[in-house]
Amino acid sequence: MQSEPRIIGFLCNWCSYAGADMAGTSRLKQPASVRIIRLPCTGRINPLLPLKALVDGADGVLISGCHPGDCHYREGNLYARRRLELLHRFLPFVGIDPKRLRYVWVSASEGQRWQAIVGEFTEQIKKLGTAKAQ
Amino acid sequence: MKDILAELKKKAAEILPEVSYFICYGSGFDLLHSAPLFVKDKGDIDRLVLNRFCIHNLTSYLPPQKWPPGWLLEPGEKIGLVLKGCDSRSVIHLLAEKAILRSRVIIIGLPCWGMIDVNKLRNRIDINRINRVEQDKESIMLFTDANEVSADIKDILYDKCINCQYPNTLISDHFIGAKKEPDKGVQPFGKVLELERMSLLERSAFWDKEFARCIRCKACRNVCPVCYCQNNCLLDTRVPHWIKERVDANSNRWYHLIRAFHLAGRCTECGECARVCPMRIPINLLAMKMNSELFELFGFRSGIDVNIKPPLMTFQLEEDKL
Repeated sequence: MQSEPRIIGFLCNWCSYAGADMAGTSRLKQPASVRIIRLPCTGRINPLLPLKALVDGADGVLISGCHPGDCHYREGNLYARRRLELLHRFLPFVGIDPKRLRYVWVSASEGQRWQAIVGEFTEQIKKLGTAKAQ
Repeated sequence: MKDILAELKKKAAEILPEVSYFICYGSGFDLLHSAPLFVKDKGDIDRLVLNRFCIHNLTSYLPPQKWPPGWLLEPGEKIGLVLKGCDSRSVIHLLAEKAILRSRVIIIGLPCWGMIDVNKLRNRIDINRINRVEQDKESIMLFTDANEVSADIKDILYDKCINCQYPNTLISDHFIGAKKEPDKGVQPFGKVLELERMSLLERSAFWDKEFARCIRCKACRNVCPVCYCQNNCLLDTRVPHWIKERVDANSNRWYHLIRAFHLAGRCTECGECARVCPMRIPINLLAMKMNSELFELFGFRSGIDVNIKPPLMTFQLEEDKL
Protein backbone atom coordinates (compact mmCIF):
# COMPACT_ATOMS: atom_id res chain seq x y z
CA MET A 1 0.00 0.00 0.00
CA GLN A 2 1.17 3.45 -0.80
CA SER A 3 2.02 5.53 2.25
CA GLU A 4 0.83 9.09 2.72
CA PRO A 5 2.97 11.53 0.75
CA ARG A 6 5.09 14.00 2.68
CA ILE A 7 3.93 17.51 1.89
CA ILE A 8 5.46 20.58 3.49
CA GLY A 9 3.01 23.42 4.02
CA PHE A 10 4.20 26.98 4.43
CA LEU A 11 1.28 28.89 5.91
CA CYS A 12 0.90 32.51 6.83
CA ASN A 13 -0.06 33.11 10.43
CA TRP A 14 -2.97 35.45 9.79
CA CYS A 15 -5.13 33.87 7.11
CA SER A 16 -4.18 30.38 6.05
CA TYR A 17 -3.02 29.06 9.41
CA ALA A 18 -6.28 30.26 10.92
CA GLY A 19 -8.11 28.79 7.94
CA ALA A 20 -6.45 25.40 8.45
CA ASP A 21 -7.25 25.69 12.15
CA MET A 22 -10.85 26.42 11.23
CA ALA A 23 -10.94 23.26 9.11
CA GLY A 24 -9.70 21.35 12.15
CA THR A 25 -12.09 22.80 14.69
CA SER A 26 -15.01 22.25 12.32
CA ARG A 27 -13.98 18.57 12.14
CA LEU A 28 -13.55 18.63 8.37
CA LYS A 29 -11.84 15.40 7.26
CA GLN A 30 -8.57 15.85 5.42
CA PRO A 31 -5.54 13.67 4.66
CA ALA A 32 -2.76 13.83 7.25
CA SER A 33 -0.15 14.51 4.61
CA VAL A 34 0.69 18.16 5.19
CA ARG A 35 3.34 19.15 7.73
CA ILE A 36 2.64 22.77 8.43
CA ILE A 37 5.30 25.39 8.99
CA ARG A 38 3.79 28.57 10.36
CA LEU A 39 5.23 31.85 9.14
CA PRO A 40 4.37 35.45 9.90
CA CYS A 41 3.61 36.14 6.24
CA THR A 42 4.13 34.60 2.82
CA GLY A 43 6.45 37.55 2.22
CA ARG A 44 8.75 35.80 4.69
CA ILE A 45 9.21 32.94 2.27
CA ASN A 46 12.61 33.02 0.75
CA PRO A 47 12.15 30.97 -2.46
CA LEU A 48 15.05 28.88 -1.21
CA LEU A 49 12.87 27.49 1.61
CA PRO A 50 10.37 25.60 -0.59
CA LEU A 51 13.17 24.79 -3.00
CA LYS A 52 15.26 23.21 -0.26
CA ALA A 53 12.27 21.17 0.86
CA LEU A 54 11.91 19.81 -2.68
CA VAL A 55 15.62 19.22 -3.19
CA ASP A 56 15.88 17.40 0.13
CA GLY A 57 13.13 14.97 -0.79
CA ALA A 58 9.73 16.41 0.16
CA ASP A 59 7.05 14.97 -2.13
CA GLY A 60 5.29 18.29 -2.43
CA VAL A 61 5.24 21.85 -1.16
CA LEU A 62 2.00 23.71 -0.52
CA ILE A 63 2.22 27.42 0.15
CA SER A 64 -0.73 29.41 1.31
CA GLY A 65 -1.30 33.00 2.35
CA CYS A 66 -3.88 35.75 2.51
CA HIS A 67 -5.70 36.69 -0.67
CA PRO A 68 -3.86 39.39 -2.62
CA GLY A 69 -4.92 42.70 -1.17
CA ASP A 70 -5.80 41.17 2.23
CA CYS A 71 -2.28 40.79 3.62
CA HIS A 72 -1.97 41.59 7.33
CA TYR A 73 1.18 43.52 6.43
CA ARG A 74 -0.55 45.00 3.39
CA GLU A 75 1.94 43.92 0.74
CA GLY A 76 3.85 40.80 1.84
CA ASN A 77 1.90 38.37 -0.30
CA LEU A 78 2.19 40.63 -3.34
CA TYR A 79 5.97 40.27 -3.27
CA ALA A 80 5.54 36.56 -2.57
CA ARG A 81 3.27 36.13 -5.58
CA ARG A 82 6.03 37.28 -7.94
CA ARG A 83 8.72 35.19 -6.27
CA LEU A 84 6.64 32.02 -6.11
CA GLU A 85 5.51 32.32 -9.72
CA LEU A 86 9.15 32.65 -10.73
CA LEU A 87 10.07 29.61 -8.63
CA HIS A 88 7.20 27.65 -10.14
CA ARG A 89 8.38 28.44 -13.67
CA PHE A 90 12.03 27.76 -12.84
CA LEU A 91 11.59 24.30 -11.32
CA PRO A 92 11.19 22.32 -14.57
CA PHE A 93 14.41 23.84 -15.89
CA VAL A 94 16.45 21.96 -13.31
CA GLY A 95 14.39 18.82 -13.66
CA ILE A 96 11.96 19.16 -10.74
CA ASP A 97 8.30 18.59 -11.59
CA PRO A 98 6.49 21.92 -11.09
CA LYS A 99 3.34 19.99 -10.12
CA ARG A 100 5.02 19.33 -6.79
CA LEU A 101 4.76 23.00 -5.89
CA ARG A 102 1.51 24.85 -5.45
CA TYR A 103 0.73 28.24 -4.03
CA VAL A 104 -2.80 29.21 -3.07
CA TRP A 105 -4.63 31.93 -1.18
CA VAL A 106 -6.87 30.81 1.71
CA SER A 107 -8.47 33.22 4.14
CA ALA A 108 -9.20 32.61 7.82
CA SER A 109 -12.85 31.79 7.17
CA GLU A 110 -12.23 29.35 4.31
CA GLY A 111 -11.90 26.11 6.25
CA GLN A 112 -13.77 24.18 3.60
CA ARG A 113 -11.61 25.57 0.84
CA TRP A 114 -8.52 24.47 2.77
CA GLN A 115 -9.96 20.98 3.12
CA ALA A 116 -10.61 20.83 -0.62
CA ILE A 117 -7.14 22.11 -1.51
CA VAL A 118 -5.33 19.65 0.76
CA GLY A 119 -7.37 16.76 -0.59
CA GLU A 120 -6.81 17.76 -4.19
CA PHE A 121 -3.09 18.41 -3.79
CA THR A 122 -2.51 15.18 -1.90
CA GLU A 123 -4.23 13.25 -4.71
CA GLN A 124 -2.05 15.03 -7.26
CA ILE A 125 1.14 14.20 -5.35
CA LYS A 126 0.05 10.59 -4.92
CA LYS A 127 -0.28 10.33 -8.68
CA LEU A 128 3.23 11.71 -9.15
CA GLY A 129 4.60 9.19 -6.67
CA THR A 130 7.40 9.55 -4.18
CA ALA A 131 10.01 12.15 -5.05
CA LYS A 132 13.51 10.81 -5.35
CA ALA A 133 15.73 12.60 -2.89
CA GLN A 134 17.75 14.88 -5.11
CA MET B 1 40.83 48.30 -34.09
CA LYS B 2 44.26 49.95 -34.06
CA ASP B 3 42.77 53.41 -34.48
CA ILE B 4 40.47 52.79 -31.54
CA LEU B 5 43.41 51.67 -29.42
CA ALA B 6 45.34 54.83 -30.25
CA GLU B 7 42.37 56.95 -29.34
CA LEU B 8 41.81 54.95 -26.18
CA LYS B 9 45.40 55.56 -25.07
CA LYS B 10 44.96 59.26 -25.71
CA LYS B 11 41.74 59.34 -23.70
CA ALA B 12 43.27 57.29 -20.91
CA ALA B 13 46.15 59.76 -20.58
CA GLU B 14 43.59 62.53 -20.45
CA ILE B 15 41.53 61.11 -17.60
CA LEU B 16 44.39 59.51 -15.66
CA PRO B 17 44.99 62.57 -13.44
CA GLU B 18 41.32 62.43 -12.35
CA VAL B 19 41.26 58.77 -11.33
CA SER B 20 43.10 56.65 -8.78
CA TYR B 21 43.08 53.62 -11.04
CA PHE B 22 42.36 53.16 -14.67
CA ILE B 23 41.15 49.61 -15.32
CA CYS B 24 41.65 48.33 -18.84
CA TYR B 25 43.15 45.40 -20.77
CA GLY B 26 46.80 44.48 -21.06
CA SER B 27 48.55 41.60 -22.79
CA GLY B 28 48.16 38.20 -21.20
CA PHE B 29 50.50 35.25 -20.84
CA ASP B 30 50.34 34.41 -24.53
CA LEU B 31 49.09 35.79 -27.81
CA LEU B 32 45.63 34.35 -27.35
CA HIS B 33 44.91 35.90 -23.98
CA SER B 34 44.52 39.37 -22.60
CA ALA B 35 44.40 40.24 -18.93
CA PRO B 36 42.92 43.05 -16.88
CA LEU B 37 45.42 45.86 -16.40
CA PHE B 38 45.39 48.45 -13.64
CA VAL B 39 47.08 51.67 -14.69
CA LYS B 40 48.24 54.16 -12.10
CA ASP B 41 51.18 55.88 -13.80
CA LYS B 42 51.32 57.59 -17.11
CA GLY B 43 54.19 55.37 -18.19
CA ASP B 44 51.98 52.29 -18.08
CA ILE B 45 49.54 53.57 -20.66
CA ASP B 46 51.65 52.06 -23.43
CA ARG B 47 50.88 48.63 -22.02
CA LEU B 48 47.21 49.00 -22.97
CA VAL B 49 45.91 46.39 -25.35
CA LEU B 50 42.70 46.10 -27.31
CA ASN B 51 42.08 42.96 -29.32
CA ARG B 52 39.69 40.07 -29.85
CA PHE B 53 40.65 38.47 -26.54
CA CYS B 54 39.51 41.22 -24.15
CA ILE B 55 36.65 39.14 -22.79
CA HIS B 56 36.87 39.99 -19.07
CA ASN B 57 34.04 41.95 -17.54
CA LEU B 58 35.93 44.71 -15.74
CA THR B 59 32.79 45.68 -13.82
CA SER B 60 33.68 42.90 -11.38
CA TYR B 61 36.24 45.26 -9.86
CA LEU B 62 33.76 48.06 -9.17
CA PRO B 63 31.69 47.18 -6.08
CA PRO B 64 33.71 48.27 -3.01
CA GLN B 65 32.94 44.94 -1.32
CA LYS B 66 34.97 43.17 -4.00
CA TRP B 67 38.05 45.34 -3.76
CA PRO B 68 41.20 43.55 -2.69
CA PRO B 69 42.56 44.40 0.78
CA GLY B 70 44.53 47.61 0.83
CA TRP B 71 42.60 48.96 -2.09
CA LEU B 72 40.45 51.40 -0.17
CA LEU B 73 39.84 54.62 -1.98
CA GLU B 74 39.30 57.87 -0.16
CA PRO B 75 35.80 59.31 -0.53
CA GLY B 76 35.71 61.25 -3.75
CA GLU B 77 38.50 59.28 -5.40
CA LYS B 78 37.46 57.86 -8.74
CA ILE B 79 37.99 54.76 -10.83
CA GLY B 80 38.22 54.89 -14.59
CA LEU B 81 37.48 51.88 -16.75
CA VAL B 82 36.96 50.62 -20.27
CA LEU B 83 33.65 48.91 -20.95
CA LYS B 84 32.26 46.82 -23.77
CA GLY B 85 28.53 46.87 -24.47
CA CYS B 86 27.72 43.69 -22.56
CA ASP B 87 29.81 44.77 -19.56
CA SER B 88 28.09 48.11 -19.42
CA ARG B 89 24.85 46.32 -18.59
CA SER B 90 26.46 45.14 -15.34
CA VAL B 91 27.39 48.72 -14.48
CA ILE B 92 23.86 49.90 -15.19
CA HIS B 93 22.49 47.18 -12.96
CA LEU B 94 24.89 48.05 -10.13
CA LEU B 95 23.79 51.67 -10.46
CA ALA B 96 20.12 50.62 -10.39
CA GLU B 97 20.83 48.65 -7.21
CA LYS B 98 22.72 51.62 -5.80
CA ALA B 99 25.74 49.41 -5.22
CA ILE B 100 28.11 51.96 -6.76
CA LEU B 101 28.04 55.70 -7.23
CA ARG B 102 27.92 57.10 -10.73
CA SER B 103 30.05 60.06 -9.65
CA ARG B 104 32.94 57.78 -8.73
CA VAL B 105 33.39 56.04 -12.07
CA ILE B 106 34.58 57.42 -15.35
CA ILE B 107 33.61 55.12 -18.20
CA ILE B 108 35.17 54.92 -21.61
CA GLY B 109 32.85 53.22 -24.06
CA LEU B 110 33.71 51.27 -27.21
CA PRO B 111 32.02 49.46 -30.04
CA CYS B 112 32.74 45.71 -29.90
CA TRP B 113 32.90 43.16 -32.71
CA GLY B 114 32.76 40.10 -30.51
CA MET B 115 35.43 38.26 -28.59
CA ILE B 116 37.12 35.00 -29.50
CA ASP B 117 36.61 31.89 -27.40
CA VAL B 118 40.02 30.26 -27.11
CA ASN B 119 38.38 26.96 -26.19
CA LYS B 120 36.59 26.90 -29.53
CA LEU B 121 39.85 27.76 -31.25
CA ARG B 122 41.63 24.98 -29.40
CA ASN B 123 39.24 22.46 -30.88
CA ARG B 124 40.31 23.48 -34.39
CA ILE B 125 44.04 24.00 -34.24
CA ASP B 126 47.05 23.37 -32.07
CA ILE B 127 47.16 26.75 -30.39
CA ASN B 128 50.55 26.20 -28.81
CA ARG B 129 52.27 26.60 -32.14
CA ILE B 130 50.87 30.01 -32.91
CA ASN B 131 53.46 32.74 -32.89
CA ARG B 132 51.74 35.62 -34.61
CA VAL B 133 48.17 36.89 -34.68
CA GLU B 134 46.72 39.48 -36.98
CA GLN B 135 43.23 40.70 -36.38
CA ASP B 136 40.84 43.33 -37.48
CA LYS B 137 37.11 43.88 -37.24
CA GLU B 138 36.04 41.16 -39.63
CA SER B 139 38.62 38.40 -39.51
CA ILE B 140 41.50 36.85 -37.65
CA MET B 141 44.70 35.34 -39.09
CA LEU B 142 46.84 33.04 -37.01
CA PHE B 143 50.39 32.18 -38.00
CA THR B 144 52.52 29.26 -37.01
CA ASP B 145 56.11 28.72 -38.12
CA ALA B 146 55.03 26.62 -41.04
CA ASN B 147 51.82 28.07 -42.30
CA GLU B 148 48.98 30.44 -41.89
CA VAL B 149 45.58 29.53 -40.50
CA SER B 150 42.55 31.63 -40.91
CA ALA B 151 39.30 30.94 -39.18
CA ASP B 152 35.80 32.06 -39.85
CA ILE B 153 35.14 34.48 -37.06
CA LYS B 154 31.55 33.29 -36.54
CA ASP B 155 32.78 29.82 -35.62
CA ILE B 156 35.11 30.92 -32.86
CA LEU B 157 33.25 33.75 -31.18
CA TYR B 158 31.90 33.37 -27.68
CA ASP B 159 28.30 32.19 -27.66
CA LYS B 160 27.12 35.48 -26.25
CA CYS B 161 28.90 37.39 -29.02
CA ILE B 162 27.42 35.47 -31.94
CA ASN B 163 24.15 37.37 -31.79
CA CYS B 164 24.98 40.53 -29.92
CA GLN B 165 22.16 42.86 -29.04
CA TYR B 166 24.28 45.47 -27.32
CA PRO B 167 27.61 45.90 -29.13
CA ASN B 168 28.00 49.51 -27.99
CA THR B 169 28.56 50.65 -24.43
CA LEU B 170 25.17 51.73 -23.09
CA ILE B 171 26.47 54.14 -20.49
CA SER B 172 29.67 56.09 -20.91
CA ASP B 173 31.38 59.42 -20.28
CA HIS B 174 33.51 59.16 -23.39
CA PHE B 175 32.69 57.02 -26.41
CA ILE B 176 35.48 56.07 -28.78
CA GLY B 177 35.01 55.03 -32.40
CA ALA B 178 31.87 54.73 -34.49
CA LYS B 179 28.88 52.85 -33.09
CA LYS B 180 28.32 49.37 -34.43
CA GLU B 181 24.92 48.22 -35.67
CA PRO B 182 23.42 45.55 -33.39
CA ASP B 183 22.88 42.14 -34.95
CA LYS B 184 19.42 41.62 -36.38
CA GLY B 185 16.90 39.01 -35.31
CA VAL B 186 18.55 38.23 -32.01
CA GLN B 187 17.07 35.48 -29.85
CA PRO B 188 18.55 36.48 -26.49
CA PHE B 189 17.70 33.25 -24.67
CA GLY B 190 18.48 30.79 -27.46
CA LYS B 191 20.51 28.37 -25.35
CA VAL B 192 17.77 28.18 -22.74
CA LEU B 193 15.20 27.30 -25.38
CA GLU B 194 17.46 24.55 -26.66
CA LEU B 195 17.56 22.97 -23.24
CA GLU B 196 13.83 23.36 -22.80
CA ARG B 197 13.16 21.09 -25.74
CA MET B 198 14.36 18.18 -23.61
CA SER B 199 11.93 16.27 -21.41
CA LEU B 200 11.90 16.79 -17.66
CA LEU B 201 13.87 13.61 -17.05
CA GLU B 202 16.44 14.33 -19.72
CA ARG B 203 17.01 17.78 -18.31
CA SER B 204 17.33 16.39 -14.83
CA ALA B 205 19.95 13.96 -16.09
CA PHE B 206 21.71 16.74 -17.99
CA TRP B 207 22.12 18.87 -14.89
CA ASP B 208 23.05 15.89 -12.72
CA LYS B 209 25.92 15.23 -15.07
CA GLU B 210 26.99 18.86 -15.16
CA PHE B 211 26.75 19.46 -11.41
CA ALA B 212 28.61 16.26 -10.61
CA ARG B 213 31.71 17.81 -12.18
CA CYS B 214 31.59 20.98 -10.05
CA ILE B 215 34.54 21.25 -7.65
CA ARG B 216 32.99 24.16 -5.75
CA CYS B 217 35.93 26.46 -6.33
CA LYS B 218 33.46 29.36 -6.19
CA ALA B 219 35.15 31.05 -9.11
CA CYS B 220 31.70 31.73 -10.58
CA ARG B 221 30.72 33.62 -7.48
CA ASN B 222 33.96 35.53 -7.20
CA VAL B 223 33.97 36.72 -10.77
CA CYS B 224 30.30 37.69 -10.87
CA PRO B 225 29.93 41.48 -10.93
CA VAL B 226 26.63 41.41 -9.05
CA CYS B 227 27.71 38.85 -6.39
CA TYR B 228 29.15 41.31 -3.91
CA CYS B 229 27.98 40.22 -0.42
CA GLN B 230 31.64 39.65 0.25
CA ASN B 231 31.65 38.96 4.01
CA ASN B 232 28.03 37.95 4.35
CA CYS B 233 27.80 35.42 1.57
CA LEU B 234 25.30 32.71 2.40
CA LEU B 235 27.61 30.15 0.83
CA ASP B 236 30.29 30.90 3.42
CA THR B 237 28.24 31.09 6.61
CA ARG B 238 27.48 28.25 8.97
CA VAL B 239 24.74 30.10 10.84
CA PRO B 240 22.32 29.40 9.29
CA HIS B 241 23.93 26.37 7.71
CA TRP B 242 22.35 26.48 4.28
CA ILE B 243 24.85 24.36 2.47
CA LYS B 244 27.18 21.50 3.32
CA GLU B 245 30.86 21.92 2.72
CA ARG B 246 30.98 18.45 1.22
CA VAL B 247 31.41 18.41 -2.54
CA ASP B 248 28.96 15.93 -4.04
CA ALA B 249 26.32 16.01 -6.75
CA ASN B 250 23.51 16.94 -4.34
CA SER B 251 25.13 19.80 -2.54
CA ASN B 252 26.61 21.04 -5.81
CA ARG B 253 23.14 21.19 -7.27
CA TRP B 254 21.96 23.06 -4.21
CA TYR B 255 24.92 25.46 -4.49
CA HIS B 256 23.99 26.38 -8.03
CA LEU B 257 20.29 26.70 -7.20
CA ILE B 258 21.13 29.15 -4.41
CA ARG B 259 23.22 31.17 -6.82
CA ALA B 260 20.48 31.09 -9.45
CA PHE B 261 17.96 32.53 -7.03
CA HIS B 262 20.33 35.16 -5.74
CA LEU B 263 20.83 36.28 -9.32
CA ALA B 264 17.15 36.32 -10.26
CA GLY B 265 16.46 39.60 -12.01
CA ARG B 266 20.03 40.70 -11.37
CA CYS B 267 22.12 38.68 -13.81
CA THR B 268 23.20 40.77 -16.76
CA GLU B 269 24.23 37.79 -18.91
CA CYS B 270 27.91 38.69 -19.19
CA GLY B 271 28.69 34.97 -19.10
CA GLU B 272 31.71 35.35 -16.85
CA CYS B 273 30.60 32.51 -14.54
CA ALA B 274 30.65 30.00 -17.38
CA ARG B 275 33.90 31.40 -18.78
CA VAL B 276 35.88 31.06 -15.55
CA CYS B 277 34.47 27.64 -14.68
CA PRO B 278 37.41 25.23 -14.69
CA MET B 279 35.02 22.32 -15.31
CA ARG B 280 33.23 24.14 -18.13
CA ILE B 281 29.76 23.87 -16.62
CA PRO B 282 27.29 26.13 -18.47
CA ILE B 283 26.24 27.78 -15.21
CA ASN B 284 25.09 30.96 -16.90
CA LEU B 285 22.06 29.09 -18.27
CA LEU B 286 20.41 28.99 -14.84
CA ALA B 287 20.37 32.74 -14.40
CA MET B 288 19.54 33.15 -18.06
CA LYS B 289 16.44 31.03 -17.55
CA MET B 290 15.43 33.34 -14.70
CA ASN B 291 15.92 36.31 -16.98
CA SER B 292 13.86 34.76 -19.74
CA GLU B 293 10.96 34.15 -17.34
CA LEU B 294 11.19 37.67 -15.95
CA PHE B 295 11.16 39.00 -19.48
CA GLU B 296 8.07 36.98 -20.27
CA LEU B 297 6.26 37.91 -17.06
CA PHE B 298 7.23 41.53 -16.62
CA GLY B 299 8.97 42.54 -19.85
CA PHE B 300 12.09 43.16 -17.80
CA ARG B 301 15.65 43.13 -19.12
CA SER B 302 18.33 43.77 -16.54
CA GLY B 303 21.01 46.39 -17.05
CA ILE B 304 19.31 48.48 -19.69
CA ASP B 305 17.82 51.34 -17.70
CA VAL B 306 19.24 52.81 -14.49
CA ASN B 307 15.84 54.06 -13.35
CA ILE B 308 13.83 50.87 -13.72
CA LYS B 309 13.07 48.94 -10.54
CA PRO B 310 13.98 45.24 -10.70
CA PRO B 311 10.69 43.28 -10.80
CA LEU B 312 11.31 41.27 -7.64
CA MET B 313 11.77 44.45 -5.63
CA THR B 314 8.31 45.72 -6.44
CA PHE B 315 4.76 44.51 -7.22
CA GLN B 316 1.42 45.48 -8.66
CA LEU B 317 -1.89 44.81 -6.95
CA GLU B 318 -3.33 43.56 -10.23
CA GLU B 319 -0.63 41.64 -12.05
CA ASP B 320 -1.10 41.29 -15.78
CA LYS B 321 0.28 37.80 -16.17
CA LEU B 322 -0.04 36.12 -12.76
